[in-house]
Amino acid sequence: MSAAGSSGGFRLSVRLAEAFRDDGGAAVLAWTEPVATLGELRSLLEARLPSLRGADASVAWAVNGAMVLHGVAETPLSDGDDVELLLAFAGG
Amino acid sequence: MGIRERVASLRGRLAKGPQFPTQGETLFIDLERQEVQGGYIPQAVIERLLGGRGVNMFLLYNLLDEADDALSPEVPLIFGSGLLTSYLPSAARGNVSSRSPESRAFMDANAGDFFPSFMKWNDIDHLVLYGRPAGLSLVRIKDRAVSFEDADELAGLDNIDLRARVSADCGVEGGDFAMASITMAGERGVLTSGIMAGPKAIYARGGPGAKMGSLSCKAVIIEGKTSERKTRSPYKVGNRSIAQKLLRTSVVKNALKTRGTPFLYKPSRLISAMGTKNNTETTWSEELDAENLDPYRPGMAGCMACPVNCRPLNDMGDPEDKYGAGDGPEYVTLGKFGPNIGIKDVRQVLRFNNICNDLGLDTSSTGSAIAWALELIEEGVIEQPWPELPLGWGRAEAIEKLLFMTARREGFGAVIADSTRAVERGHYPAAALERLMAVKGLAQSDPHDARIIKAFALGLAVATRGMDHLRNRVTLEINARINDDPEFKRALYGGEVSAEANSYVGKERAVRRCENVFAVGDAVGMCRFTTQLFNSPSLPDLGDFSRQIKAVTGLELSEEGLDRAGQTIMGVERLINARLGLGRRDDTLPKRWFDEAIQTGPYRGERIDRGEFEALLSRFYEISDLDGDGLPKPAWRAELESMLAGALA
Repeated sequence: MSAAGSSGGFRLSVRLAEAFRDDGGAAVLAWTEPVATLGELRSLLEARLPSLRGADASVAWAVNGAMVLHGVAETPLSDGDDVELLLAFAGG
Repeated sequence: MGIRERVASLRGRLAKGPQFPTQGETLFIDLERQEVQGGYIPQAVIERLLGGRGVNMFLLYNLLDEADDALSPEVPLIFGSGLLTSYLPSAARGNVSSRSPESRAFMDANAGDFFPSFMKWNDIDHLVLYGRPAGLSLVRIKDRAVSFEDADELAGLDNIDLRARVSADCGVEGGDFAMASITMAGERGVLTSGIMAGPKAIYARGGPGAKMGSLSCKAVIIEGKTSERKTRSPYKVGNRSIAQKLLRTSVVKNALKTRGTPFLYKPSRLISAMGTKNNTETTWSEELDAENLDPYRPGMAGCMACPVNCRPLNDMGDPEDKYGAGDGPEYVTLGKFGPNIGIKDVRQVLRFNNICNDLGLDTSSTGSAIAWALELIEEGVIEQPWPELPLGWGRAEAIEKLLFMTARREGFGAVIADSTRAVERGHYPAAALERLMAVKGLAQSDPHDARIIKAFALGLAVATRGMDHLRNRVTLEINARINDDPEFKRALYGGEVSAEANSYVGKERAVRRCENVFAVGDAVGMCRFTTQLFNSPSLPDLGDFSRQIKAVTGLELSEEGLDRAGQTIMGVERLINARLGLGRRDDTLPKRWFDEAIQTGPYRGERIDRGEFEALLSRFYEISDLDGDGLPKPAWRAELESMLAGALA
């Protein structure tokens, strides 16, 4: 699935934890709508994924294999980045 | 004054009958003389310490003589069920407490499955065991009667065989009976052994297996359920609300119920905070991410009457292999027997899990002791004990052999069996201590390297039983949504806590808050995984506990009162530790975390700054009403000692 309004040259790989794969959707989205920050991506994804929109606080993001622990809105994204949406889970 | 005199003195202060409808009796069981005496904890103590872990500490404070070695039969082993154990969904937990034979602190371990609930179902809140019979014995509780049996024919049986033998006699575990038992490792005083409460459930930390073995007690079996279950008022509506609350939380719905705590492995890996090879490295393989266990998971299991069922079962498809299937692993086992010892093969981790469950070994302490040894061998601090089958990172065959030898205290296994006391007992040179990942003599519970997340580090340093994350982990420090909402975070912890995980600012507030809430959770019998602040702000909280305590017991304890109870439990624990010689110098971290920096990932260069840590610790003491040595300040100390001595109404 590609995001609507795509333009050439920009592509993110967005991996979704099972909890966010609505209606058995894909585990990996090819995101082609340019976004400058993780905050922008989050807003657009929330509009498209009911599971993310309705999620409680336990959502976590990783960019290029590194978890983002704060400052999601300002975290920069570049063409080719790998973004992962997972559950924030640190105790067990 | 010996234990019997201390028991008699304490019993003189106990109530003769229950003070609220669901209060169970405290049974004092003299294993040597085969005598049983009872009493009921005073309501004033219940109101301040609640039950379970809290009241265990009251009993331990009053019955412990710190001059006695942990393995002396004069030192009691105390089982306690929570104030609400068996009454709330997910409240299937209880604690076992004593002086730790493994660490320098007190011993307190928590477990679920069936035993705590069966205690409560038989109107028993606490079991206090002491004295040592001439031979291995078994305690059976049936129809409210306690009997003592010779257990010589069960000697040497490990968990799988023992549970099969007892089930043949007693019926279905969890339905007809419950059992807390030790394996050969416990009989032989292995300091990393636990008390098994099921196929996998274990009272693990601090050497409970060795302690129970020191009393020559193989098992306590409780048969049947005799309680009439009369609560003060209807409580099931409140339970439905609690069940709905926890089941709709995403970490429960999408992680715990589906894969269990192995889910945790990936976040730690993505933070580059994995405790790898005795914390000499902080990254490891994707091969142990939770989804890689999916092919081997036939289903999920859970503790008694818990709606979550968070325990992954495992089956590798070979019915001929005794260790080819089992219960687990938890994240701790995945980490301690994966990256911590250099193993990448998920099937090998499952096998280690199944072996440890059978041998009754705490995977935290055992995995840590093995990793310590492997680093010492690699660095040449100690010699390779097995040139013909060398021990080393990732050497699964040798490590598997070592587990069995540890359980039997044979050869180099006897060194592992002595856990963090290996230097003290002459196995390793003093220089080995520089590589020991332990606090207060207890090895780190979990495989997360806490040099990055400062709240995690503070928690491990101040946890009263030793280096253990379950007492106070501020799990929500990895939650960016909360970190990016300063108002929400301030409200959650009662003050400012920096959004940055690697900042020291305000972290004392977060640890204080978590420590209080989690202590209350233990004391009421609630599972940590379904208690607010452990992975979610949306899980059952002190308000839920307050309402259900009132409904079930009639006791009116506000949220503030419960928060205060959590802090009181911590205060009593610190008083006990002080009697054992512990102070501020023991609220610290492994030397490695101060002196060595993280080498990889976005937090490369991160370590614990000694000056910042000491300042953070001082702030923690201040907001915790502790003095500079980590003891309750004089006025509070006087209040605690009065309560413990029975002077409060």
